Amino acid sequence: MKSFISVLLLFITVFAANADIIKANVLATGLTCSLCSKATFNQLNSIPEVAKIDVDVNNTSFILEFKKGSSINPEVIKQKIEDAGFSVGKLELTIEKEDVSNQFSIGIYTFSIVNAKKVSTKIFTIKILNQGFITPKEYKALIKGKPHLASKNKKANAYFVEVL
Amino acid sequence: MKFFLFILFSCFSIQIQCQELFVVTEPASNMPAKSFGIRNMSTIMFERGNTANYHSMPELMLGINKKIMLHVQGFFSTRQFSEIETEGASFYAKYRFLSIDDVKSHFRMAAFGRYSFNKADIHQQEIETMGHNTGYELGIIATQLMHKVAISSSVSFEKALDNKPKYIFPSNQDSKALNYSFSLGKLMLPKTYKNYNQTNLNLMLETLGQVLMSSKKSFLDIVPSAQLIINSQLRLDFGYRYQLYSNMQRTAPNGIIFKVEYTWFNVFK
Repeated sequence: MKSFISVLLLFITVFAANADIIKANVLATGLTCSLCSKATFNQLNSIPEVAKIDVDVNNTSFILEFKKGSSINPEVIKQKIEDAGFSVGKLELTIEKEDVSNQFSIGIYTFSIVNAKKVSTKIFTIKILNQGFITPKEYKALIKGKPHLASKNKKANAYFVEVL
Repeated sequence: MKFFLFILFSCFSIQIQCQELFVVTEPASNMPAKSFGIRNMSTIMFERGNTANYHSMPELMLGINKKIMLHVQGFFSTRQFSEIETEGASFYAKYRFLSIDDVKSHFRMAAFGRYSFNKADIHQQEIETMGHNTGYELGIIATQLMHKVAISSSVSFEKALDNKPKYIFPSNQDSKALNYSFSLGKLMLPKTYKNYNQTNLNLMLETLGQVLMSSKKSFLDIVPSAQLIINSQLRLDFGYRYQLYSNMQRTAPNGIIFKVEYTWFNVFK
């Protein structure tokens, strides 16, 4: 039954998606060394939707390119970095989608834009502001100014984002 | 002594990157989830009277999840006989209970436990469940990575039991000890990371101390070491353990350490 549900979910996410997450730029925190970076790389490389990874070892950041038509859950990227033993300091997603309003969905995931900037192009980049996707310091400063963005106020599979 | 001072000076004077993969102590950080590693620590410890013992301690390591890792280790040595002899084995588990990450820095804390058995003779007052005594050790570790410097400290309680079947722990000897360690590590090369193929060179300095709980006898050792990390996966460590002071009976405190380690990632689902 479990596998049936996951297959069903997969179909829903693939076919309901009229948008693509093309790229993700992830900053991993808690590490400096190349051994730790390689451990993180190997975890990210095990995500089935990932087509290619460019690594900046010196800045502990990774640019993930996804397979066409993929609808990756940002939570999966976070989970993989945490499995390597580290945390996400920044996650930016490059998305291809038309007619984007202040709230849009990709598959089962909803993204609420919280900054004043509007999406004016078909391909655009967002930064996730949920707890665990920015540094603890950044998150603390964010919810101090905008308490409604606290992760306790969000629904499942929902992300607060900033358009870059 | 000049050599130690040189290492100390090098560690503090140049602002470059560093690691926390210490040679004789474990950091509070864990290996990645679902990874598997093998390691062997070889030591040549110098006995009084110019003889030397060879010890080999191969280890299998498993990252169960992001918080728990397990080790199984075997102890082999030439200390008792001229040929290499199987002396015992050990199980080790580490649980990371605190992790605060920021850009190129972290603070972590972990609890660990070890249970070892050993059938060799009990030949010194020092308690060492890694390769000498049957017994257990329980402790906590705190590790701070600050951009390019890593420091780590641990405190543990160690209890020696009988080295069954032949050797009963002597009743006139202290079977409980308090251990402490302080470790410092620094990455010397490369100065800037470009890819995973660059060989890393780390310099480390570790101090290890023990206090026997009843008699209050103690020792303090220092271990300067150099570490190479090849292809971001193979680790080679070279160190020298040197007794700074001791008022307890130890048979071979000084010696050369060589360690090799290799990790495979994502080996199971």
